[in-house]
Amino acid sequence: MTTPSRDDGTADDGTTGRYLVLLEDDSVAAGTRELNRIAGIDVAATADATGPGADLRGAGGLVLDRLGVAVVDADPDQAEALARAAAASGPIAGLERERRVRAITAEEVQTAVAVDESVFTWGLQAVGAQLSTATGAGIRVAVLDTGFDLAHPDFAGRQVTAESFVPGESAQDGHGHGTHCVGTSCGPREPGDGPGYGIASAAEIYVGKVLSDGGSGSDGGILSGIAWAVENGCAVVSMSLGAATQPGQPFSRTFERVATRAMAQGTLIVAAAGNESDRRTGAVAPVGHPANCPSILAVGAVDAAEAIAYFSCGTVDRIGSVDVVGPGVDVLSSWPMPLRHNRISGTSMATPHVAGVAALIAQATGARSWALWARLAQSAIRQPLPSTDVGAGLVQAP
Amino acid sequence: MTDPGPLRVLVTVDDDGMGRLPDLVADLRAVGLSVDAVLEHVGVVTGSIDPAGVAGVRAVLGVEGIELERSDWGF
Repeated sequence: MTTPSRDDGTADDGTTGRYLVLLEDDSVAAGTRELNRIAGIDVAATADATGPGADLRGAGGLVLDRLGVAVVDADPDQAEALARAAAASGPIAGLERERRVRAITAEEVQTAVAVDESVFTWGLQAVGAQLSTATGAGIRVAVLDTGFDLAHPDFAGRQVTAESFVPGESAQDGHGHGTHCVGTSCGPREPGDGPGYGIASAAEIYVGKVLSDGGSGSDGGILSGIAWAVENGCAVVSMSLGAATQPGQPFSRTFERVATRAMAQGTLIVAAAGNESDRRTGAVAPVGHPANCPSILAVGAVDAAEAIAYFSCGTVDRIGSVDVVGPGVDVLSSWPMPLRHNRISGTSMATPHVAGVAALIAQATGARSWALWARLAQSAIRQPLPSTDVGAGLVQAP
Repeated sequence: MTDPGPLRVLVTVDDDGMGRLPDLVADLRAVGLSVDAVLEHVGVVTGSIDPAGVAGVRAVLGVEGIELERSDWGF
């Protein structure tokens, strides 16, 4: 892995080395002459029509007529002369350093970064769980998935309640996905073998098996799992599963009703936004079912550089928005024995990070339901990425 | 065309219906719903019904809506 480097020759303080000269209203022509007179700067181009990417090199600068602003190259002496002119009366009203701005695209910041995972996974560090005194103690977290490796050594002594809603299969995880999700949301911070990977490390674990060992399931089983979690007073339901949707497809009225009823009983449902995008080719798929329901918290995925994962579904319609993001690329967590641990990627991995953080907030603040949602969103780190991809941003432990 | 067979459906119950769920479930059975699960905490009944019976289910007092079950869930 490599660390990001800046090779565009610009200053490291976020400025470009150029200056913005604010001209007095209706004084563009006079201001342009003044630039030349006091600082010897010849503004060759007068160009509102100059589009992005225009080459400013070669000219001393350019004037943006309609804005009344000149962008100029100035050496320290010239800058000092301009600053004096700005302080005095005249056509030059102000001077400031030009700041570097970035295009708001996912590709822009997709940079590999080196992360030290010797003690904690990058995901735990990204949400600040390793710094939190909250552990989720006293909070019930339901993970609806492929079940759980009930004999996993990392969970020895933990309180685990398991139930299968898949006909003919026990809650024992015959796949691995469920064990991975339980590990991220509720696993240990000090497993004794490898880095800490669990967020709500003292939460009460409710394992609802709603997907078969083959990884498939249907609405009825998932709804049964949600009802079971509500009945058992789980403050958080983590669902790293769903079904793809098409643009314009309405959300399920049934799941929305179920979610509002769960909320009324203190249960927040957190669900994966889906992995159907391929941003490497520019394709962004809509948030899947049932994360597209307004009352279900939809989770997208970011990588260790806090760039949006290429597969992460986005907000495509007026409904079905991504609400927050969590770590979802190259995530280490528990896996059924004998493998014990495994690294996988997906919004499925981002979702239990958010569910775990929700449990910490629930413990630390007493918040449930919509209040818990609000605290998750309010405390999330804002990111220089489209809100349609990341919602309120990257969730943070209290 | 072959007979598509019974449809697997999700029946959402309104708030009034949730207060008298046993009676409502009996009404649903009476109009032909083969009930799989009654999820009382969230007010949903799952089951299957012949396509011709869907309108009858929707007309039962206390039913808020009926939706086809999706079975294409995955990760």
